[in-house]
Amino acid sequence: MDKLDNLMFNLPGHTIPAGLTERLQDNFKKRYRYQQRVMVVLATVTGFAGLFLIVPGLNQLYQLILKLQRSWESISTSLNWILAGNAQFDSLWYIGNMQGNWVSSLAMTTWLGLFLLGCGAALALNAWLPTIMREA
Amino acid sequence: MALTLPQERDLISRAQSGDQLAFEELIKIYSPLLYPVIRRYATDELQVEAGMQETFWRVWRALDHYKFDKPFLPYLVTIAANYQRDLWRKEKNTATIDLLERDLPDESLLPVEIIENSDQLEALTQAIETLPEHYRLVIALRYDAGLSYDEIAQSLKIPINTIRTHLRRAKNQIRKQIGEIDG
Repeated sequence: MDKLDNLMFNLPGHTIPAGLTERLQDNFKKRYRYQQRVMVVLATVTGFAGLFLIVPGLNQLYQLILKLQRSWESISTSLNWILAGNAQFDSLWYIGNMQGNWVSSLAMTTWLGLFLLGCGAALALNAWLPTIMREA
Repeated sequence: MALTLPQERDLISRAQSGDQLAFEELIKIYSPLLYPVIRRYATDELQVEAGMQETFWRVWRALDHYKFDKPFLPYLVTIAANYQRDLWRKEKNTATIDLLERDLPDESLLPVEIIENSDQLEALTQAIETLPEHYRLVIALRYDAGLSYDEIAQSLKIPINTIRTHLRRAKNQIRKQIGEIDG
């Protein structure tokens, strides 16, 4: 470090003029308040804009809920109908929507019984018939 | 007003969490420390006040990014210096290397004989005031803010060798103005 360096490190520092600190604080306060006001205005505008934009979406959601509610009512009615025992009669004992048809003249269990009987007879015949007859 | 490190950190933390009064307290404490640095490179009092206002506002806005691993004054000085450089750039006052290397006018030369002790410092102060702004800025950061070459380079985001060159040329110009000072 040469002499010039030494001198420069010891340069007389400028002293802050009276009142400057207060002016700086006032300026900061002013800017801070202005920033706060801008933020409030921006927040309000943004909030209202958001509400305005969200109305169609809310309406769509409401319609969806109504639709789901209607769907649920149908499901609920159907469930009640089934739980009330109607399904047993219409769907289990008789093939649905075939009233008047010959298939619906017998109950499901009868048809099932006939089917099983047929299967049993086929198996019995296959087992009991003489081999020569089966080959023929 | 001297401030202990915990007190300083407490104030900064409060300011970081949006406490306006804490930041006003920081202004009160740091404005006398920042003033001499800005005064060194600014051309007049108006520029100093504008620079300090803008510096403190920028610090407030960027305070969230401040980490406690570095002292607060160099942080303030860095923001002040970069603001001033932005301003000079906008004003198209940025001097080129050629301009920075120009010789100062002969009429400002002072004979070395009349510079003694306090007179020397006075003459030196005057000589610095006549330097180009970029030299004054580096001098302010080095001698008034007490930053190292490396810290100045980081603050101004320019190579450390450029800082060394600026300081060497600045001192050469000062020597030319006030005469050779023996080392």
